[in-house]
Amino acid sequence: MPSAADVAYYLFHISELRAIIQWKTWHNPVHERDESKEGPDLKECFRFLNLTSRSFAAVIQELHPELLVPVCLFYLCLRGLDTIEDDMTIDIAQKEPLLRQFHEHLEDETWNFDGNGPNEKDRELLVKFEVVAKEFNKVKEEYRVIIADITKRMGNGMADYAKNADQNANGVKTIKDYELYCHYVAGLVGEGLTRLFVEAKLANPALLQRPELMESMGQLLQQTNIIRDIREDHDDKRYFWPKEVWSKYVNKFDELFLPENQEKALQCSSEMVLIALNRADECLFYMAGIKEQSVFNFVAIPQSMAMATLELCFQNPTLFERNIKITKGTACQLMTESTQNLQLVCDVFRRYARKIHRKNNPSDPHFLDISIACGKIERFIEGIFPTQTPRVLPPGAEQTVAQDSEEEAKRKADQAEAKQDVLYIGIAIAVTLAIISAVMIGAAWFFGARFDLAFAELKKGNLKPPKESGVLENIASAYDAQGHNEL
Amino acid sequence: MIALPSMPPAHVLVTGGSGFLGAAIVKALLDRHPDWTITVLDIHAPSEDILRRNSSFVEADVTSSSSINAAFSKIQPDLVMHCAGIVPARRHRYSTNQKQWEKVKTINYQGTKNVLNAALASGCRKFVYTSSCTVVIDDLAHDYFNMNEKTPLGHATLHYGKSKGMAEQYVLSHEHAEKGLQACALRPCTIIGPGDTAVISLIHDLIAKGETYFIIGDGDNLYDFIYIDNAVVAHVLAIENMLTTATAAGEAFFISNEEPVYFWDFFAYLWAQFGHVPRFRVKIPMAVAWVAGLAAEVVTYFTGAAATVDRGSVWDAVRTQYSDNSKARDILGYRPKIGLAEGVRRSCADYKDYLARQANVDSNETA
Repeated sequence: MPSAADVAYYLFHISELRAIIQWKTWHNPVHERDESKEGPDLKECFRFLNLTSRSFAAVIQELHPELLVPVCLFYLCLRGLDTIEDDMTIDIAQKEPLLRQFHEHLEDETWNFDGNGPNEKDRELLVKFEVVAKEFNKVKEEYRVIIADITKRMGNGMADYAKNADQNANGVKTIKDYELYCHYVAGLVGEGLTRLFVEAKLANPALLQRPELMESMGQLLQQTNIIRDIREDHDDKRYFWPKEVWSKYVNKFDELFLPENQEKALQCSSEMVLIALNRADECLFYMAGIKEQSVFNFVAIPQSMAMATLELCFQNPTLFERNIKITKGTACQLMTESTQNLQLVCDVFRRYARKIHRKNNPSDPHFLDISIACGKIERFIEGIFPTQTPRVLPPGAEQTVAQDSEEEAKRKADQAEAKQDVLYIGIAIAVTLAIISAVMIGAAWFFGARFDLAFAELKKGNLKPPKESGVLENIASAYDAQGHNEL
Repeated sequence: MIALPSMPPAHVLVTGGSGFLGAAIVKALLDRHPDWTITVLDIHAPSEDILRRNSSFVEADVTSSSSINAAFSKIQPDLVMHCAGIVPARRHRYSTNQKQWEKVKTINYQGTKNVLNAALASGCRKFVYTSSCTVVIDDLAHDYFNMNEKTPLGHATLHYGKSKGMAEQYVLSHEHAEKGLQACALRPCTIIGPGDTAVISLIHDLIAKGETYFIIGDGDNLYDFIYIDNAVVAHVLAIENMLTTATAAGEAFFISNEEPVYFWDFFAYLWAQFGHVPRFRVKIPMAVAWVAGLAAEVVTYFTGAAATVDRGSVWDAVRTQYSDNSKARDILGYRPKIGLAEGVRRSCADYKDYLARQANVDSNETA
C-alpha cells in the first residue's frame, strides 16, 4: 500500500507517477524465465536471487536464456562471498581462509556454511549453498571457469582487505586503495560479466581488449554506492571514503558530519563525485559494445541509476544526514529510457551531466574539474551521436579560399546597401511617429489642453499629477489669477 | 615531452619572439636544445635573460618587406617559426571597420607573406606557422562540436580569423610545396597563461563592471581553451618534427587543452580566483541579449565609449566550439601536460601579481 506521504508526493509530481505507470504498463521483458522447464534446485536458486537482490533480480531474470542461469549463479556465488565478508561476527582467523577457499566449494554439492551470525540477512543462502553447487555443475564448462576464476580473485581481494586491520580501523587511505577496493568488489564483476557476454557471443569481443572499459563500469557503480551510503556506513563504522580525499577538508572523518562543517563536507563529496564522474564516458563506450537487447538492459539500467544517484548526492547536504535515494518515479523513468538503445542512455547521461553542471558551485575547489568532467561526457556523446541543428555547419559545406576577393567586395556592398535600407526604414518610422505625435498634441491643444500648466509644474519638479481632487482647479486658477493681476 | 634522440644543431628564427607565445617558445627551445641557435625577430627586443642565452635579436617589422628582406640577408635559419601577428582585442574583435581590417590584414596576412617569401629567398625550406582555431570558428554563425582538420575553413567573417585563414592557406599552398617548402600550421584556441594580459583581464574586468550576474543563453555551451605551456609543447614538437621526419609537412593541426568546458563556468572559475562568486546568475535568452547588444552598439555608436556587450560577443558567448586533437596526437605526439584548472590558477595568480605591481606603480606616481 502506498503511504499518505507517497500519495501527496506523486500528486505534485505527476510526471513521475506517469513514469511509474508507463513502466508497469508498457515494459515487455525481452526474454522471460520459463519456470516449467526449471527443476526444484534451480527454482530455489531464483528464490535466493529474489531474496538477496533488490536491484539485480529483475534484470537478471529477463536475460537471454543462454546467460540466464550462469549470471544468476555468478551473482549468488558473489553474494555468498559478500555475506561472509560483511559478517562482523566471524573471526578474522576463520574468515580469511573461508574467503580464500570459497571458489573451491562451487563444484562441491555437499558444501554449505552455517557459521553466519543469526542477524545476517542472507545467511540462508550459505546454509543451503549446495543447491547453487548442483546447478553450477550443470552449466557449460566455459562459464564455470569464468565464474570460479572471478570468485577466487574476489575472495582473495576481500581476504586481503579484511586482514588489513589497519584499514578496518581507520578506513581506506589513498585514492589508489579506494579504487583497488572497488576493483575487487565491482571491477572484477564487470570483468566476469564481460567474459560471459563475449563467451555467449552477445557482446563485441573487442571489449576484452579494452579492460579499462569494464573496470569503469564496476567502478562507477561501486563508487556511487560508496558516496551515497556515507551516512549509513559511518553509523556502521565502515569507512570507504579515502583519507587522501577527506583529510583535505577535515582533520577527523567524524567532523564531516558536523553541521558547522557543511561547506567542507560538500567540497569533500564533490571531489568524490568528480572521481566517479570521470568514469562515465568509458561506461558509455562499453555499452556501445553490447550486441543483445537483454544484455544491454542489464548493463544500462544500473549505470543510468548511478548517474542519477551521483546527481542526487552532488551538492546535497542531506547526504551526510540520512540515507538518500532517487525516487521511484525517477527510477521507472530511467528504466524505460535504459531499455531501448544507446542513444537514449546517452541522453540520460547528458541530462544528468548538465544537472550536475548547473548545481556546480564556483566556490568549490573542484568547480572547473567537475565542469570539465561533464564536458568530457558531452564530448564523448557528440563523437557517437553528433548534434544536428541548423547551428551546425551542414555536412556538404565546402572549403573556400579565405580571401579579400571581388566577390567579397560585392557581398560587402550588398551588406552596406542592406544597412542603408535599415537606416531609411528607421527614418521613415521616426518621421511617421513624429507626425502622429504632432497631430495628437495639436488636437489636444486645440481642445484646450493646458500644456503651459503641465510644463510649469514639471519645472517645479512635480512629476506626478496631483491626486487630491480640486487641486488641479486651484493650480489653474492660481496661474490665471497671476495673469489677471498683471493686467 | 619525451626527449628526442639527439638532433643535429639547428638555427631557428622565431618571428614575434618577444610576444606572449613567441617568447615562451624561444625559452622552451633554448631549454630543450642548448646547442641550437635561436634568432628572435620582433619589433621589440626580447627580455634580458633570453638575450643572455644562445640567442640573438633582429629588429624588423613583418609588415615591411624591405625590413624583413634586410633581416634575412644576414641570416640563414634552418627553420622559421612564424608567430608574429596581431589579435584584435575587445571591441576590435567584432569590428567591421575597413581601416581596422586593413591593419589586421597587413600584419597577419601580408606579414606572413613577407616572412615566407624572404625565408624562401634566403634558402630556408622549413616553416612552422602559428595559425588559429578562429580560421574555422570566426564565422560566428555556427556551433563547432569536435571540429577537426577536415572541417572546412574560409567562412570566417571576423578580421582575425579571416586574416589568419588567408595566411594559413598561403603558407600551406601547393605552389610553395612544389618549390620544396615544408610547412605546417598549428591552430591553437584561446591561449591563457602567466604574462597574458588580454584574456584574463577582459574577464576580470567584468567583476568591477558588475557584469558577472548574467549568463547569456542556456549556459550549456562548451568552449576550448589552451594553457600556454601546452601550446608551447605543440610548437616545439612541430618544430622538431619538421627538422627530422617532416611528417607534419603540408598539414594543419588543431591544438587545445582537450578539456572543453562550459563557457560560463570558465568565467565563474576565473572570477572565483579573485574571490568573487556572484550571489546569483540570471540566464538571459539569446534573443534578448542580441537586442541588448544591438542597443548597446547603437549607444556606443553615438557616445564612442567601449561596451562589453555587442551582437558579436553575444554570438561568441552562446555558441559551442571545441576541437578534436587526434591529428596532433598522432602526427606530432602532442599531449597537454598542464590541466586547464591548474592553468587558470597559475594565470590568475600571475595576473594578481601584475595588478599589485600596477597598483604600486600608480601609488608611487601619485606620491
